[in-house]
Amino acid sequence: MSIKLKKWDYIIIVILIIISFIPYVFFKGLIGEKTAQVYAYITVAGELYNEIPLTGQVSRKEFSIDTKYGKNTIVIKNESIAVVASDCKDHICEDFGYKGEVGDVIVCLPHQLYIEIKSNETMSKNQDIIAY
Amino acid sequence: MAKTKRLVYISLLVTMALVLSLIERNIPVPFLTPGAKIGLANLVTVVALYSLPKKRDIIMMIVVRLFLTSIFGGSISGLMYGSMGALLSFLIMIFIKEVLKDKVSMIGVSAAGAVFHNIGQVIVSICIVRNIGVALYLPFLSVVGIVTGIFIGLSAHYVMTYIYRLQIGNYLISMRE
Ligand SMILES: [Zn+2]
Repeated sequence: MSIKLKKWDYIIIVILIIISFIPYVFFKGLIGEKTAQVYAYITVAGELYNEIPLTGQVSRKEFSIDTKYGKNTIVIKNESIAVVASDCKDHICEDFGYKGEVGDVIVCLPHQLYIEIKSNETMSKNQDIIAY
Repeated sequence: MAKTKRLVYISLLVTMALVLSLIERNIPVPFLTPGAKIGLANLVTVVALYSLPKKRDIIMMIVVRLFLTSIFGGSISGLMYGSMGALLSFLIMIFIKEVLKDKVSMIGVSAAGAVFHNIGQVIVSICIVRNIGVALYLPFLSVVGIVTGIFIGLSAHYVMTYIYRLQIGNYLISMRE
């Protein structure tokens, strides 16, 4: 009893390979859009405090940055970030409003808080997937 | 008597599948898709497909196998991945075998089974991690699947030659014919 590959075995294997590439063709564009990750780069007194991804961040998220310099309340929604409340003396940081474009900045000088919107172009598709 | 033989045979298949699942757990999968398995236990499904005349028995064998595998150090998520993979793989194999009959060998059937096993797992991954990115692993998984599928097809073929030699094999063949 010997086994022989039949014509349909080859056909099936070719079909299987084609099937496995279907999601790649369909979702490639969709995933490609996510490669340009925009994030908020937050520093306090020149030191990195946190990096918060803005891409895909549509729902409202609130948190506070509480340091020895003071407290700022941050809100992230619709892929943008804002300082909504601050116990600093000038409250200029609150006036910046929502920022989400690459290069935008929000500054709170009394608290030495600096938020810059950056884009991580180097974040490749593969890294994006590996993160999951 | 016939019923006892059949039960013993099904139990034998389940045991084989269980051992293969346990061996497989110790084989690292070089891809990061959560729960990805190469599906060695598919070997037993292929053997069952070609030796058990009743589809109900094959399904029973698969269900018992999945259940026992998850008890033996498996997890609920493992059971989910495994079930979806096993279900899709079983459906495609039975479809190909019934439609193409003698035009296809065990190799084609089990290669399709292996790839659809991966597709099932990827679908569960997409549902769990809510990221379609895992679908991009499919080509890699499929290449592995096709290779293991061919290997499994060959192994199943040789296992079958021994099963046919057993009396139980004759009995099963006589039941099929
Ligand atoms: Zn301020």
